Amino acid sequence: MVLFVLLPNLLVIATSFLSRDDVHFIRWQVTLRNYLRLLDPDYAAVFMHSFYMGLVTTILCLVIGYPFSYLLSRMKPGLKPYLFFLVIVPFWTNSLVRTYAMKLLISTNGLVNQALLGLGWIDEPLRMLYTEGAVIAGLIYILLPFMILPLYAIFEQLRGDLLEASSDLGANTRQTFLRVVLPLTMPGIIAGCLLVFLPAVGMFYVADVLGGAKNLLIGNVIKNQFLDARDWPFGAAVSLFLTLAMGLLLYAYYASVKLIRRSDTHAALA
Amino acid sequence: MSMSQDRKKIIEFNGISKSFGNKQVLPPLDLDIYNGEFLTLLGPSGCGKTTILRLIGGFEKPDTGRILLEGNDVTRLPPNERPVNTVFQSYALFPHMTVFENVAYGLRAERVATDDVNRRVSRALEMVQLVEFATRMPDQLSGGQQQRVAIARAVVKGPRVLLLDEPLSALDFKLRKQMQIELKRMQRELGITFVFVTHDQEEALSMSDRVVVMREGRIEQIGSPRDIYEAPVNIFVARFVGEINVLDASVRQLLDDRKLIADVEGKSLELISHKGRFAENQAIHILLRPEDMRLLPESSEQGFPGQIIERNYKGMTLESLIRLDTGRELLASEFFDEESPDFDYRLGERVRVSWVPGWETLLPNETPNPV
Repeated sequence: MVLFVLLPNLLVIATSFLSRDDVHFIRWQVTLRNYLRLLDPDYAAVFMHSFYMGLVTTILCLVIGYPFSYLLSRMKPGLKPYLFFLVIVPFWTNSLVRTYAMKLLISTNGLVNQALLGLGWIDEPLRMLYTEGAVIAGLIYILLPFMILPLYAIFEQLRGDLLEASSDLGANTRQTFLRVVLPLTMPGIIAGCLLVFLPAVGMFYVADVLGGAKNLLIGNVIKNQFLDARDWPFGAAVSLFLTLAMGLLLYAYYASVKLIRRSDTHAALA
Repeated sequence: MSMSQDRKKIIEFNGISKSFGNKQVLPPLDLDIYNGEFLTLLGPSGCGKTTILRLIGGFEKPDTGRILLEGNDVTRLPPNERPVNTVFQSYALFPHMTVFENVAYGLRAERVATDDVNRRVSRALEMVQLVEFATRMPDQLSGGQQQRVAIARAVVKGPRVLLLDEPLSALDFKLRKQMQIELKRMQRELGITFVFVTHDQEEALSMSDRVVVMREGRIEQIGSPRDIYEAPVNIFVARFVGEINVLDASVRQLLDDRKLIADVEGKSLELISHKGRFAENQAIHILLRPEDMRLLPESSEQGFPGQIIERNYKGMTLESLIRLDTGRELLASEFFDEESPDFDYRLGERVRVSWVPGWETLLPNETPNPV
């Protein structure tokens, strides 16, 4: 833990307060300049756009993954391993390769456009590549299993007798969902959202391959600073900012969950 | 008591059958349940008793037949539209809700006004003596307390019928006894029909107005606990509701409607048939409860000679296993009686075994080749 978690993080934190050097990457001169640069409207806009794309990706993954996981968990025991296998299969191919495969599919002369043209549904190729939608679709494609896995795990734990009890006590399907299924699967929802959102804003190669110049993720900014602009201290500052923002989000999430619980108890006391 | 006052049917099963896959759990079956009674479905696991409960609750749909509740056909009605509630074997308390919220759940689902919810939940918690636990989470309660929450949650809506699926099976002996008494009390106070499922014959006998003994989806006997225990209709029922001794005999002569003379273990005895008529030379079983058996000194003229091969002290009673000279083994259970000098037979001592005349139950021997 110390070697692989603490030490690298300390190095990043230290680096973020140092100055840039063209030859040695880092000059031993303490400064806050890197953090002030974060306030630059250009960067702020990139961050906002990145968060927005991450959020859309997460929500869509949840919307697709939640019913999918539910159905998967209700399948016949004999069928489950095979369906589950299908969820896992994509992991066997590197996600970068899959991203390029997706590029081939949706490019101007790609399979999708040719199929649509062939069917006569469109007259000229759709521009799908290098759009915001392409990035989001790519992110969903790669990250959906990370939503499904924790949700599936929690649906597997969901006790059938609780659903029967709810129905027995007069609750209809909607009430049972809102008052029993949703609260009891909330840990899976939170875990899935974090597992999708955190990588989503960092997956620079998806934005690189599918997004073009306009649809940058925070990951692109970090990667550019380290590899292209050779500004390690600023790159470190950006990644630290990302880490802190995530931490804040996590905290807000847990705080709100706690609050919901407490208000329930209060209602009970009243 | 409640039964004789009000013989109105509350639930009727008409030709209900149910299969899971290829396995038929219930062959077509009729069953009437009366308003206000405590009815117990008793049988070994897999006999279909839980399926009957789930059919009433609406968790299963029958393959054939109709279920009437107060005369209305509810066969296809989902559980949430039936005026019945269930106490689940697993309790099925919502783990993310307090005791109060668990009990309030059914009322909230019905959008009962908040004041009303508070009042009714409080009353239900009072009944199960859990008022001070209202704000606890289920995992902070003992098994017995969880059980009582499950009961409060099920009765708070005032169901027409309360279904209880082996609700006491997870409790230890003492708590189970206590809950049996409490359930009986609640049933009297609430006046609700209870349909109780158990495989514990003692529980069934001590709590019920009527007991339905089941085997492999079929109803073997329906009757009062006393009927079931003292006049079982077949050997399965006799064996299932307690220890029983079975003797083989053959009818020699019919004396009148009830009395007959039969050959038993090499002796001729006069027996009384409480139910059913027999023919001369018919093979029959004589059923005897251990507590109806009597041990006599060897010098006695009555009874069958044998030897005590086991003695078990049971607190209230003393159980003896006697091997008759003919090889058959009989169990006798005697209450302590300080004044009886004959009581204390030693292990290995030779005795004679008899029973209280007239307390035998006679059944036709249905096995093709009597042993």
